[in-house]
Amino acid sequence: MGQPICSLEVQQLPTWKRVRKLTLCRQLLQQCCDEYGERHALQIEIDDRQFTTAFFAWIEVVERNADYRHQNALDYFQFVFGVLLRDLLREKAIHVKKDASTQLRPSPGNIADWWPTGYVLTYFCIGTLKATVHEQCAVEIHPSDALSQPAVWQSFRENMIEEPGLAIAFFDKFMGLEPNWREPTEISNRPAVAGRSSKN
Amino acid sequence: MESKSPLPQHLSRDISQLGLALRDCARQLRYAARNVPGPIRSDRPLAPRPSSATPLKPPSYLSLESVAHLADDLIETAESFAGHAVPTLQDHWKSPVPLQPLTAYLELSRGSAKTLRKFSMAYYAAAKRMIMQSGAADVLIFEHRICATLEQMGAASSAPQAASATASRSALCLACAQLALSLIEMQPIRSTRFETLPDANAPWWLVTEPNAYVFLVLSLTSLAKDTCPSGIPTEPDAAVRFFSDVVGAREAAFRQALKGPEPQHALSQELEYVITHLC
Repeated sequence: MGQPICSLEVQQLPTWKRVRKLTLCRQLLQQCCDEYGERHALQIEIDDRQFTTAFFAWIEVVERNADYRHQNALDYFQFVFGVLLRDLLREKAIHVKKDASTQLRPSPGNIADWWPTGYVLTYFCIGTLKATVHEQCAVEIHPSDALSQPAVWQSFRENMIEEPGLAIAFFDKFMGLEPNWREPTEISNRPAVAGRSSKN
Repeated sequence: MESKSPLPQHLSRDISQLGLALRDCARQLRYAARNVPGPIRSDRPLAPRPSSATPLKPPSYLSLESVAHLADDLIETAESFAGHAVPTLQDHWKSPVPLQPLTAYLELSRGSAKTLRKFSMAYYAAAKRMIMQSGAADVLIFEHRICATLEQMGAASSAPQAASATASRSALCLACAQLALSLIEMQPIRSTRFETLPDANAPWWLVTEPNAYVFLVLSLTSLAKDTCPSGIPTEPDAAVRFFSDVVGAREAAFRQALKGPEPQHALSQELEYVITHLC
């Protein structure tokens, strides 16, 4: 699959702070789009209106579930970046530049070309999650093998169209966590919460 | 129902206020000429010339086109009478309209009528440009109502109050909420004509409540010039599009704030929430 994109460099301002600011979050996403464009010779553009809508929808979820961070910071970040992926995909925050779409020769084996927008947004959320967890929790996390399996991506793309919330479950799967396929948008039903409750 | 007359309740002693009222009057006349359904001279097919030598009768209706020309003449007359006190305004909206920081406008609020015109000219032109660029066929805005809003705000606040309004981000958000609410209450946008759905993040809101949507966008644009010195688009049209997207994305929250029991407080909170997540 080649070198992954969206590996964020350490900056003065923490990633978690940057990603919760509209203009800075857009800058981070633009970097990913540019990186993808350089690697795959295909221009990806941000739709500012759709991106703004997705961003503010996401911020609401981040703030509404802020208490969960005190219970399980790792799983909180995992969940909110899954929600970010859902909102960006649902709102179609990025798209392949119109005159560039004719260059696509999609084959399911090459995920980056087969589903450019899904690929860029997934790697954007993985990149921001990894950097945030590193900065906020001093923990290194890595994606699972599922991230390189075309069959998982095919399922992700097909299911996502009917139920955008499943992006959260697929994001968990990509990061090696057990997904909650039935109610992925409910933080109280996350396996990490259930596991914690059963131990108490 | 509220009168649509553009004449202010009390005619200002200042010539520029009178000029403004006359100009709004002419704008209303021109808008009506453009938009009231009716025969327009140039649209009527030419009648066949009668064979007899009887002279043609003049048309029995008043041409809307001629009313529009009359309105243009009236604007020119008002401008020439007002002289130097009334700078030309007609086409300001046709170029990008840079808005000043909110603090700059708050300082103007206690100035002379001529000073207040800097605010009303900018907000009139920016509002008209925003609406026209979103796809409107026509719009009627009363500039004197925009001017009166800031004048009233200035009259209602003392110098220490004005100074404290700029002291913190919360205070600025409160002042911004007050400005936006006052503008919305004054209803300077009298009429808009969209033939297709506007190209905006909240198109139906713009159609049904243009004053709320437009003046929230413009007030927020000015506020952000104080609170977000970097990161926001600097080109005027791009800035308005940016904040139009932001206000549209938070449409439900803004509407709720405007319709709540304490709109100024609620709107101030919502503005601060938005500003906090911008840059």
